[in-house]
Amino acid sequence: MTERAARVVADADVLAADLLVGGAAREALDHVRAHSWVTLVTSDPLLADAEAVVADLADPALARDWREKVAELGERVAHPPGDQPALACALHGEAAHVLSFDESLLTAGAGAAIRTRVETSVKRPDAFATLFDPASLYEAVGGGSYPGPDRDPRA
Amino acid sequence: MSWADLFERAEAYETSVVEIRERLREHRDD
Repeated sequence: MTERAARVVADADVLAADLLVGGAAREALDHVRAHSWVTLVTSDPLLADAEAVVADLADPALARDWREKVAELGERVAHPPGDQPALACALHGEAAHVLSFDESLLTAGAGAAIRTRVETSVKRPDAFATLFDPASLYEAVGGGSYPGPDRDPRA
Repeated sequence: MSWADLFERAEAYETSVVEIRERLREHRDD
């Protein structure tokens, strides 16, 4: 296991659900917010998709403020326009995990096809939240003994 | 602006993962 294991992409549906719904999406992204050594990989197209959904279902001001905040949290990568943004982020950002609610990405067949091009695993947020083991991951990425969360996930 | 502030503001809106998926699909199809 490498640092790749601590790099996560959240598709635009998960990003929007984190803000507007809570539940599994927020639980999954709380792991990222609570650990500075876990990196959320994003891109402008991915954030633009989520911002558009938030603006549509809530309001544009909340969407703008959210985008400013999430940009602080994430590491942005560039990818060609027209690519599926979450998978492109995983490819160009070397992320081991993609969180999505998109059923077309979550089937076993889709997972196998994706892995021929990108070394990543697409998971539902609840699966990621359940499987996330910060102590073993921290040790695996070379951090030594896990000291516990190092950030306030609500700050 | 903190995450706590953003989540508090978002509580004014009721939506669901299904609705988010639909809007995202529409947005990406445009």
